[in-house]
Amino acid sequence: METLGVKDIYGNIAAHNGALNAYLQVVPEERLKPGAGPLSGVCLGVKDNIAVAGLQLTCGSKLLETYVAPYTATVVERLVAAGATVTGKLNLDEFAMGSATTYSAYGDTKNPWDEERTPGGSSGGSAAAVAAKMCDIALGSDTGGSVRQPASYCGIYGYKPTYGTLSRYGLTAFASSLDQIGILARRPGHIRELMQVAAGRDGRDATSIEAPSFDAQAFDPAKMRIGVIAEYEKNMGPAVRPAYDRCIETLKKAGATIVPLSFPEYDTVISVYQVIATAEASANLARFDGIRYTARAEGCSFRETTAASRGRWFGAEVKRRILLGTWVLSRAYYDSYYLRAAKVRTVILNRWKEFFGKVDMVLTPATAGTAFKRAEQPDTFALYLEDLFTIPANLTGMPAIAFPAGTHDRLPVGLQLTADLSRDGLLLDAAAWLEKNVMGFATIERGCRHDAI
Amino acid sequence: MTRYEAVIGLEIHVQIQTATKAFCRCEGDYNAPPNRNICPVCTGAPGALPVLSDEFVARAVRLCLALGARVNLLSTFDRKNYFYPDMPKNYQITQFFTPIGSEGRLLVTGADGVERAIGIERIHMEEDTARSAHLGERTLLNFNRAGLPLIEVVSHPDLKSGEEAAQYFKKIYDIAVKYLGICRGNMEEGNLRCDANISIRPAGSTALNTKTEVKNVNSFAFIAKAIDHEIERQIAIVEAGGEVESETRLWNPKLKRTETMRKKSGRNDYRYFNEPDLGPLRITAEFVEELRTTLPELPDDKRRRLREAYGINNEQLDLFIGYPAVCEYFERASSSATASFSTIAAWTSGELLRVEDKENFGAVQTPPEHIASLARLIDTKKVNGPQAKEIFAIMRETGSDPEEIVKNDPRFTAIGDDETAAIAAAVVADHPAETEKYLGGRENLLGFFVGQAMKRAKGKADPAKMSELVKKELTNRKK
Repeated sequence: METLGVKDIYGNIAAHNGALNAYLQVVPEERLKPGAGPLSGVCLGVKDNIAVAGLQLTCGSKLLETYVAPYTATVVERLVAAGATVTGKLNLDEFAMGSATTYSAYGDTKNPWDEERTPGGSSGGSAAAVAAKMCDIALGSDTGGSVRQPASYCGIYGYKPTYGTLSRYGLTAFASSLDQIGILARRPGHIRELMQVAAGRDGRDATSIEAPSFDAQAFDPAKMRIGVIAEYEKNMGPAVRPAYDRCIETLKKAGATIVPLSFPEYDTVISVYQVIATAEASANLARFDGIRYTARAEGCSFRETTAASRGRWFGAEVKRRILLGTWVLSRAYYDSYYLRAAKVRTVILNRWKEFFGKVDMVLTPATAGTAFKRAEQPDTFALYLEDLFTIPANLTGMPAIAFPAGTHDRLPVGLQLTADLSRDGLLLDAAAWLEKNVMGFATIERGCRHDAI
Repeated sequence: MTRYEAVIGLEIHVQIQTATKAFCRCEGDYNAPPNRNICPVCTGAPGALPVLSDEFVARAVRLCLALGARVNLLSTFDRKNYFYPDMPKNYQITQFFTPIGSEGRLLVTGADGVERAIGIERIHMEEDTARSAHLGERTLLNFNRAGLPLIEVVSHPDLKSGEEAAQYFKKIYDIAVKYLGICRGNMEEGNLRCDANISIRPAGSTALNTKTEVKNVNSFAFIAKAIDHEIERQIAIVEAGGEVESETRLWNPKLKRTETMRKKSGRNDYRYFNEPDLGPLRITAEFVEELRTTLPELPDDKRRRLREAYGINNEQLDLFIGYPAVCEYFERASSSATASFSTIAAWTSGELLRVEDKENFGAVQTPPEHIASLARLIDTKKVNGPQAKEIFAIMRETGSDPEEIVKNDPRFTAIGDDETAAIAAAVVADHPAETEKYLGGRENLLGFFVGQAMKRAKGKADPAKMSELVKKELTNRKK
């Protein structure tokens, strides 16, 4: 991997992190341990909900302000063993719940393309750090699009592997059946190199699976059938449409077959996601009770202590989702909400399996528009709708990659490719071809007005 | 006056002894210094994930098979959500929607002496909690126990009395601890815990009335008493025109009564859902069949076989069923000997257990062949009772075979029938006056002659034979 070098990276951190607030914790340059192996020299930023022994693990929450991880996540362990060096912990929405990194207890992260704007979320710190060259590559987590949406807003690549391909051991759980560690990078080739080292079964994660091959294969667009989803067109903003059409045109010219697909269940994905994700979150976040390792508000009993600690330090969005999740799992509503959502999830999975009987990949926008201004953040529900294009890959477990495909009004526009389960290699091959033939980060960064890029 | 019957169901938690905890690879020894055997998984650290222990699955399947239950090839792990200080994640991983085992059965003998099958509704796998200790106002938590494998066995409400419940509990204890060896069986340390759900109804009714739950009746000494007391208490309430309240009660062994622990206000809502970190548990029919071949013979079958094969008494049957090692010893002795089963059973259950600990019988030094050979000496009247006891003592001390002991020690060489007859004749000849009296009708003098004869034989004659020959000799004089 061509790396920026520690010196430049620490120079960039010193110059821009104050303004962008991407890193929550920076490992001092003199304490970096250079590693040996295929990833030697790679500076890795890690989202602050992934455990690295000895570094903080705040999850963007006040509740974990003083918590230091006692062990290292499998993925980080593998990357470090291959020579990568962890440069620090990156900002996020509290417990990865958000789409703009505005729900971090440690302040907003800003978009390097325009500091008034959001870098997206919840892996906003990871996206901003990679785009502003404050690390070579970063780990994020993607539960409903939290890697792909910020990558798209910051003009970089954001990849969510097939569920299970990267071990979740060490990733603070938000919604276990949807969560995947993902990778944010300036070049698709970087992602490939990381995956060759990090992917594969882990004895500490029962849901992990054998990795498919990540070796580069010749990509011939003429042999490709690319699906496009009719129902998505009306949800595509004017900022995205031209890049989308241009990408289709490029693929067509190269000989690809464009196949129109129908996804009649598209308008259920947000609801299904909200029910399942909040239900799982309500249990996953129960462990933060003020007893063992979190900040503790003193109460006279276990119940009081727990209620006071959670009440005081959880943010509003986290509370909202815990309440919603508790509600949909309660005995009176389990059947009509949770169970129903689980069934519709199966319908959606079957629909996408059917797609991949007809096509090799599905092309969609990554987001409906470009990065919005932090001061103009949509209301809670409108913000949930941001994830319309990215959620299906989480519900189905399928791999997806957001890639830069141009700019609109000097802001990056991202599109997304989704492939069938374990066809991750194909996605990375396609992304490499698109980098050359559409518009990679290297091309669009020249249009950027921020000196960080 | 209305007659009542009780409806009782038991929930038994069996702590399974495995090398590791259920979902992490921490050592399963909860007696280590506090918080020694812990890791990110069993303390619920952020990002830690459960991975199921194969050994736990195998032991759960064996228990299901031993309890005659159907083993579900696909079962689910589910989260049971509730906040409690000893729950690291504030949810427990359990099997709610589909347990590993369904519909088993065990036999109990009712008050009428008739054997009845008690249904087992479900057998499921779950994780134990941490242990809390209270120190003044503070609560200390020891996570060594957190995540230890537990199996819960839930019966149908088929039990009718404290005595039946005690039998059922004991049987599960025997199977888990003594037959399968999957549980340490230390009740003080909570290796087996038993809660009873109890309600009453007019005899013959099929109604299910409000029940109470009596917690922690896990002692053979008081389980029957605690349940019977609760039945009496409920009857007294209903007889007085009152209503039984739904509540959790605790047995107070000092005052010999159950006491309110907490009222149940509505049902708890545990918000169960499938555990996404584990996914469903799938096992194959071949795996189950392979484990079936590792099962020992189980109590109900064993009792039937022992009764038929050996014709031993009920007391000995109970002993052999309750102590498989003693039973195995008995059966080995029986297979190697030409002695009678009853003599071997008597000596195993009698003399041997007077000096050996039945709870720790594996360590017994005396080979079963020696008990068998002693029994043969007894059966063939080569030695008498007092001699047998003396030989038993020498055998244990020296480790020699009783046959050898007898052969090498002239004291135990019994005299033959000819010599016995000669002594009998000599004694009668030496006591003409007594002979006269005997023949004159004083038949109780027979004991005197036998005593004299045995003395002369130095105890090495068979007393019965001697008695027979003396009598014969005396009768001959009459002619």
